[in-house]
Amino acid sequence: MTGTMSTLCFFAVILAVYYMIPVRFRWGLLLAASAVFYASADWKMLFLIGGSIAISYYAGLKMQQAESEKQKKRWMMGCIILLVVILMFFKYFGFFAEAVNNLLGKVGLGSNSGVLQLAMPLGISYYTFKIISYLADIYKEKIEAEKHFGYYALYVSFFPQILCGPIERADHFIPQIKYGCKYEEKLASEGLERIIIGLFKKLAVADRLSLYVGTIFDAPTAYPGLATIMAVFFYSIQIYCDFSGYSDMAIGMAQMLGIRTRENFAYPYFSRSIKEFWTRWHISLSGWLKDYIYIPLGGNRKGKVRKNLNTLATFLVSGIWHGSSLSFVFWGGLHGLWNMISTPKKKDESVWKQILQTLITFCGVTFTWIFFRAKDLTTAVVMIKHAILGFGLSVDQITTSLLPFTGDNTCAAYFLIICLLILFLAVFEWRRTKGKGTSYGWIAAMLAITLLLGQFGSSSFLYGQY
Amino acid sequence: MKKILKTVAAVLVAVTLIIVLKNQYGSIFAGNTYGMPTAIEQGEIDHLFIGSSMFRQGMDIDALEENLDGNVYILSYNGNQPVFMAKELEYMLERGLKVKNLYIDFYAYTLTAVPWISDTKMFLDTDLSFKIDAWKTMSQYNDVSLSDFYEMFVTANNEQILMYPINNAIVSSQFRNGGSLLTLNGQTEEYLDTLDLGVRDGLFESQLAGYDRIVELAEEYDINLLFIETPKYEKLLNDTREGSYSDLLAEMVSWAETKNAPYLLAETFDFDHTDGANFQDLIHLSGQGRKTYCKMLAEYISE
Repeated sequence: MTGTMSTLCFFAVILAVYYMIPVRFRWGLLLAASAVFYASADWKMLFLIGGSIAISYYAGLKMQQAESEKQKKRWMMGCIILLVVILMFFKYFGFFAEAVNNLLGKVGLGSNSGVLQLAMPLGISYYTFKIISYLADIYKEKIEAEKHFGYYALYVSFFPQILCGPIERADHFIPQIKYGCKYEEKLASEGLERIIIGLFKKLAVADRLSLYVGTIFDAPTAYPGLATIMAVFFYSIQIYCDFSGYSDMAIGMAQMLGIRTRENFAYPYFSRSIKEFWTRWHISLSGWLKDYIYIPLGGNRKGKVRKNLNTLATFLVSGIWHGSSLSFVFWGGLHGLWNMISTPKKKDESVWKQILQTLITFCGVTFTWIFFRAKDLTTAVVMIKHAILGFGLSVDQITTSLLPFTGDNTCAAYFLIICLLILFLAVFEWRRTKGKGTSYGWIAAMLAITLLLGQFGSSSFLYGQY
Repeated sequence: MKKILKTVAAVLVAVTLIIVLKNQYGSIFAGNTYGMPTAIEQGEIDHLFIGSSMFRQGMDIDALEENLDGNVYILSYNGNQPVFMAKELEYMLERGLKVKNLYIDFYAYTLTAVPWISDTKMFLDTDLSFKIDAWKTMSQYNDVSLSDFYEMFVTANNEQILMYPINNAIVSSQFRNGGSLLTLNGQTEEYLDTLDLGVRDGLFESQLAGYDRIVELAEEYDINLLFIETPKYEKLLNDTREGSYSDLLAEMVSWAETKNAPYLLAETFDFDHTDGANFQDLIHLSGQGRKTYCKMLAEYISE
């Protein structure tokens, strides 16, 4: 049930029941729906998320009742360490098992049939981060421990956010549930708009690009350098549309249920510097890393050198959070280093300078995506080399670069359509950055394009794996 | 909320209308050098070839036109199956096309597949009645899903229609009278020997029924009919396992003899099945292979 259309169908059913029952029972329906949604992916993992919720709920109450700072810290650290160990176990088991197997293989003891790979529990990275922020906020006395188990369980497991966030904070979410989610016409209307925008990004753009990107990244040297460059730029668009499309849908679904959630994206590819980019990309994770890693490490309060080290450490944590491969660490490191040397841009620069800065930032971010998407670090390096050395613009190279779109002579039409869709989205988002509202014409066009050109096969979300 | 719901409703109505129109009249956006609409436009065809990619890659329009009297047209869709070849023929005949000589792809592997249209271009070339009929056939033999329906009737070919001026110019330049003008290179024997197509479960009755229907239509419209097997690489021919290509071809020959349907096997000709340069892979001919083969075929037909 975790594909795009099945999620929306499930949501439609819940929404219909939601407004038919009294306000005081609505949280219960959402909690039950979240449990069903979670169980539909893998019912066995329901015990894991249930256990995590129960333990952290109890730890929260104990922290609240603690008589000393030491006791409070002990409860917090104990629970956080347990959750992080569980997260690391599922995330990095395969990586370490393979490393140990390779090591044993060198002395003739390794297994030839490969190592056991564990299935990642749905949304574990997201709900673990939610719980950690909840416990840390209780420790910092920003919030009080939630006494109502149901409200807390819903905060952690809220189904529109469980797949790929946004990583919600308890002080923002729980009060809304506690005081009852009532129907708000304007909010619900905005929610439906967000869902349509999200569907457009996901089905008409991201899923349309996924076959091409997958084909080239799987065998980069089999195609011309031009195809590699196209695939990298298209991946940059794909990951944005996939992830922000999901976020739009999650935010929209919550709004239709009468719940306001955090924003996750603010047109990041219009950023003029990497610093600005990270205030606009995956905002809920960046904010989480800032509040619970960067600031506790000392932030910018302990001198320039320490500030840079803290920045680097935060981005390395971000890289490790995304995956066990060294290429993720490298990706995090690159962003960390770029952030260290990046300076904020002046607001009154000339238009051309602003465009140039935006293009440089976009190209730089796109370059770093190679390490994020490639199978491993070696493949990423091979791709970069191939993009440069294998580049050419002969008719044959252009034709071979377009062919993977469909595998037949309709590839040019497919390529042109995708370029037009990207342009359409860019204009739409550029208008929004200028504060222009979304007219119904845009929404109608997005819906019509999605219905006529969307890829409606079952698809999962790229960020669901992190 | 009312405004957004009205917008959604208006879009749904508009999209439904567009879809109905597309399915009924979309064929005006079909290519003008290939496909069913172009064949129908010809009015009369002396030599009509209907087949799968075996004919697309295996029939050389230049060689056939040069060596056959009268006009030639090649109708090919990727993975075209007998059950749909029969429907295509019937569709064109019902719309007034007159055919003197008909040549049908005699390719064993398409008879081993469950009826399904893998080349949705066929949906661009036809009207709603054909699509509904084809969909009924597919539903009869498959567990079709809403997603399959959506792809066939709603999203299929939209890119080609929207980009018609550019797409038509590109695609149409690659065909003449339905024949592909692209000449693909052959392979080395070493490479071809690494390929394997495995074995299949046997021929589908519904596909053989498609051939039966073609025989009936040929009799009804007084058309000379010939089933043609295009050459295959020797590795495939030497494989005699149960369910292999040769095994299935023998079953087809047995069908043809029972039904008294005329057929022409590739072995009739002195064509070199061992030369890798004649093949793109185990089943498709290269540019060189199809030229040589079609010259022989045209001479045979002329005689």
